[in-house]
Amino acid sequence: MYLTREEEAIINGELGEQYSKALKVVVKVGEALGAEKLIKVSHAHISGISYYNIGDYGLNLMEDLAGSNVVFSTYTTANPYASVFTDFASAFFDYGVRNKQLRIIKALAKMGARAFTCVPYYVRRPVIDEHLAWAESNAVLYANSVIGARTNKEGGPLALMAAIVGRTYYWGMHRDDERRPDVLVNVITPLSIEEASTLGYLAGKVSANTIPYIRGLGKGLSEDMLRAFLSSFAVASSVPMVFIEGVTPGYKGAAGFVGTGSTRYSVSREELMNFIKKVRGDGRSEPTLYVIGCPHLSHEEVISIVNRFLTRCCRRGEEAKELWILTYKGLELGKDVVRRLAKLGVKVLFNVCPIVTKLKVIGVSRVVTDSVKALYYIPKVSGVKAYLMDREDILREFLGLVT
Amino acid sequence: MRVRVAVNPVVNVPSDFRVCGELVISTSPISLLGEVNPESGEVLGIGSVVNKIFIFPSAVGSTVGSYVLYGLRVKGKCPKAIVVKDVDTVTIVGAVLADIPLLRLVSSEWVKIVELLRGGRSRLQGCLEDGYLVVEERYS
Repeated sequence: MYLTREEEAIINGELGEQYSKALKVVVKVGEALGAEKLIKVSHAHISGISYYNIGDYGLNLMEDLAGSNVVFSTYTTANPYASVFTDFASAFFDYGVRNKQLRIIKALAKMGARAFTCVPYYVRRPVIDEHLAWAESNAVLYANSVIGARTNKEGGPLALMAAIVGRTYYWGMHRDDERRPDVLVNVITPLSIEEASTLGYLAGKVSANTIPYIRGLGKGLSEDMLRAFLSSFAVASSVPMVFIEGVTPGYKGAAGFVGTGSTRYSVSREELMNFIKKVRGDGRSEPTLYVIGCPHLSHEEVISIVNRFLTRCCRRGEEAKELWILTYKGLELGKDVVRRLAKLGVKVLFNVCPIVTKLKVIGVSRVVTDSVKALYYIPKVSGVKAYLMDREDILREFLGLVT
Repeated sequence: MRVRVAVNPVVNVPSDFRVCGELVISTSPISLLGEVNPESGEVLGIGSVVNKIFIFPSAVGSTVGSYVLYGLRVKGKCPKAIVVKDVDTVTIVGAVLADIPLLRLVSSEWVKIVELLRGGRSRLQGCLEDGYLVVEERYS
């Protein structure tokens, strides 16, 4: 691989052993993939920061790095962490786990991580053609497909190394010739977040290894629906981008690659309804945790939901039902609002992710969510049953519990 | 009988590289997260890889599997070398972080590895040097 003089010097230890090793990681991965050179990135996003996910060894590595005074060379954000610190949850998680999660956060913050969220595009929005090294699939899909920025779907540890050296390998989505669709997927126009999320998952299934050109999502697709579609797409497909007609920068030129003769699939309303029927939750009288915010909500979305609850006064029964609204730090709700919401069973949580938390430990046995991504991962990682429900239905049901 | 399997260096393989040891082979891909225990150096279903030459087709599953190889280093449970059929990014990242020599088989050589496991041969010993994995076959 071609390396600049500056990069050679870093490999040779000019900035110290840790920077040398970090660059070596990026170079070796690039070489294995056949990359010809490195490229500077203006934003790295690290995944894999839950103690439940990376364990003692991820923690050891991050502390070793932070302890040797490594500082990120580019703007860096990281994924949300396990929900072990919230006042109610911390009573359940043992001190060891909480402390280790805290040490991971501290090490990353010491190196320069600016935020902990799965929506780095709301914390620092990249511009078109900007080169990034992002892990976290929903963010990668959004960056490439909505903004037109350039990032591969990096692994968590590689993104950490890329943050340290401010570079990644020039390959895949960084190159013009790799950003082209190879399959046409016709979909129906979703009418709700639940439908958009399900469509994303079904479209991902038919384009598991090829970038699709998506036709039919409709012009009036809201930001919520777009994010629901992309985050669930990434659950079923390994590709880092999709071309969405009318949305993705350059979609007009891309349409030429999927003309007559190319592979095509379609996702019908019948297929959509069959899927939803199988996974749908209902308002059963069981202890249930309702989760909205996978991926994290924007602050505007949080405020609009919170405002609907602030007109209410009191809870009437079904105390074992609770609603979590997930977002990133920077929104000040005020103590009074937090107290009023808590009385209604509603919690706005910052920087955390229930998927990477062992929900069983805090006594949760059933989750209802509007996200197919959460639906898919919660049983696997968090160990509890999950069901799908549209966001509006969740809110209506929950508002029905209060007066 | 001797079997010579051609290999290429990937990372941490200096020009005068030579290691010998017992071979531990998995014929199916390994999920480093979940199947490798960094505390003990044990791999699910195939036993300890500590100070051995660990051979598998490629890594699958979570990218944080790289940290598991680093964990082997922290605990002093590293294999002497890893030899893979296909290089994948999870293994490369982990090998660099953990300073484990990583080599890849020249394509088409995998059949020789599979062949080694046939017929009840066990406790295979081998040496990695000069672009080859040289295996001494012993019958149990």
